[in-house]
Amino acid sequence: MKPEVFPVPEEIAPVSAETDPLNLESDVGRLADNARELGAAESAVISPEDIVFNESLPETMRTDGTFSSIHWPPEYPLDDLKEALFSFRKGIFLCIRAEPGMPDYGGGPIADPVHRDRYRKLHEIVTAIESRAFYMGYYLAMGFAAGNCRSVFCADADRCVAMTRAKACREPYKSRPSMAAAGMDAAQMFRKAGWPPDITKDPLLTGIVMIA
Amino acid sequence: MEKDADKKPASRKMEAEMETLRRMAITHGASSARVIDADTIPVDPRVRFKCMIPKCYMSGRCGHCPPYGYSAETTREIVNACKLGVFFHVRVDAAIIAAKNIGDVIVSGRADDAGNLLSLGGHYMLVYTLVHMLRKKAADMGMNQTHGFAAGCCKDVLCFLSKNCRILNGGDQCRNPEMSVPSLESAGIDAFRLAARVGWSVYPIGGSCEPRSVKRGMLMGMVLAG
Repeated sequence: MKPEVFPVPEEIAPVSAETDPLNLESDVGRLADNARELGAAESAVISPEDIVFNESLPETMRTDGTFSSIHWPPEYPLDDLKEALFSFRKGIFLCIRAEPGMPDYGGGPIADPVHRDRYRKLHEIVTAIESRAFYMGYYLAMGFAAGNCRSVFCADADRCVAMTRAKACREPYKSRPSMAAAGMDAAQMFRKAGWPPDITKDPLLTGIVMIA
Repeated sequence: MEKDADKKPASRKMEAEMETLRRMAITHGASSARVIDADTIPVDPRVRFKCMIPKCYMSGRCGHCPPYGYSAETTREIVNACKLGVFFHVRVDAAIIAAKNIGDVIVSGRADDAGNLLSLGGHYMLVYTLVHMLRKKAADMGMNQTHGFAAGCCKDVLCFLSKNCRILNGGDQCRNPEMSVPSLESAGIDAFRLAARVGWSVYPIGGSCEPRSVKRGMLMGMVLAG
């Protein structure tokens, strides 16, 4: 099922030849508000310079990868994701509230369905914002959430279908790679944002949507 | 893209030849075509990532689609080595390209009752054919260094009835070496931006889009010459 969180506009405008910085500023602010309307505890407009990178994070996934998926660990042999992220001018950093006593599942299965729903909620907010940005003309919008998408959406499957050559992801409208998989240090960014630490700590339920 | 100061401008002869190619594209089915300066082509690393996050079903399906094919860096080198290009588009009715469940139909590869899959496949084939024709004509005119870019995944268009892309299965020769070229998007070329810059109305059409929401769709192709 495709998410119906935001209806697709009745009339979609054609893509602009150039992005107007003033429009971008107000659109990104509106999308940050939308994220809170959808259930984010906090959201903030960020620039690429606000992203904290920690190259060791994806490496950690490579060493503990027993429940691997297309996004855990990610493989982009010819492409530089950091360069792509720095090509954006604005994005939205957000977090949702974790359940009290929720453990950090790493990349493994999430046994508790309530906990799984929290991750699912985060992915849904990220993809809804990304989709809305897309139809606003920001067609390169790109979202990242938290956790291993296989643990969240395909925990009962024998394998991640998308890892098979020429097969699509089962949940392309909902699942996204984690910030950590992309080398983003969400913990440091959360601290820099100055958000109350009781919202989410371990695990850190944060996401990011780069808009344009 | 930044202009290479040492690059010589295109000669009058080359400009005339590219205009010949542009007209040829229109004659054989392109809805519109422009001769463009290669320095104006936006190559953006984000474009290839849109094929991989989330993973498009075409990603990794042929030797051209990400994570394979030209990196944005390689494409920049190709574009830098060229002077002019013919950029064209083939218009597709919104009722076809934004048809309900067209995404699922494309992924399944099974013809739908409305005939949208076959119709869309025909439009894609036209783009590949035009790129091939223009490159052949360019070679006949003495332009031997050309690069072609089409739309979508060549496996789905040129090798639809074959199980796999030969290049990815044992490194054997491509079944259609003359026709098969990367798509603009697989090579990291921001075709949407380029289309908007040349004055075409290009709409973002996603999985939730309905035909009534957009005026039309388009498939784009390009031939670059050095």
